[in-house]
Amino acid sequence: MKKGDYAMNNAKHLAKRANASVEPVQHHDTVAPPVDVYENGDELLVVADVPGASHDGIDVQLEKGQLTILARRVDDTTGAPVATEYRSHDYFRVFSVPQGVDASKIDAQLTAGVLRLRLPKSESLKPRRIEVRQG
Amino acid sequence: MAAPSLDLFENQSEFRLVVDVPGATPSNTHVAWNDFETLSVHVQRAALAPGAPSLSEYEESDWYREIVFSPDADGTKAHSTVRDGVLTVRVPKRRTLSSKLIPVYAA
Repeated sequence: MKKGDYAMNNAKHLAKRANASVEPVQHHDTVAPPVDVYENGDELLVVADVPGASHDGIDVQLEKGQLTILARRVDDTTGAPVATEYRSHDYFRVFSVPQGVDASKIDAQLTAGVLRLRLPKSESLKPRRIEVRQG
Repeated sequence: MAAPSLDLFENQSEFRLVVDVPGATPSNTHVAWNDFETLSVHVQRAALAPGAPSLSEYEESDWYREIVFSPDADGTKAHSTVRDGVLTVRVPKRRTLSSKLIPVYAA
């Protein structure tokens, strides 16, 4: 085999590998959804607008004190665009969860494109009344 | 009231309007076809939670938007659905635009 033939075969081989490694990947940009946070004595309530995200497309994880929200949306973009004000995107946001939140009781609910996360406080974080003894 | 973002698509038979209105349900969403080919969308948003938020990034308010369509849109036959906080309004196109010849006279 001549040196040139080897180089050509090698190039073909690399091209084959490159083609084989290409997989159809649906890439969506992500935006940070706006949130409101409410707090009372028992829990924290995080409310986030994630229009277009369905129940199946929501992923909420708590790991090492970080609460991660990923919400995927699927849009019908058939037809010719006449006016477009927003691009199809997913939602992604990370929060630091304060110590004292009972991770095992975090609850997520999605209604009409609004995600509500309830983070119950553990007993140590709840306000408690301190009895004053008579001296 | 806040103005929601929208996308508008068309094909040969209809226009399809897509509006992001989180919090919208069939009972609190009002879509109307008005004069001058104008479609209005109004969503009366309920309170997110009782009390004031300790952190607030968006104003809690109704959604309202008006959109002017081209004359071939037949809003009287429009159909709207809402799902996952996204409103979709389908407005069929008229098959033929009514037209009238205007005579031109020598001045």
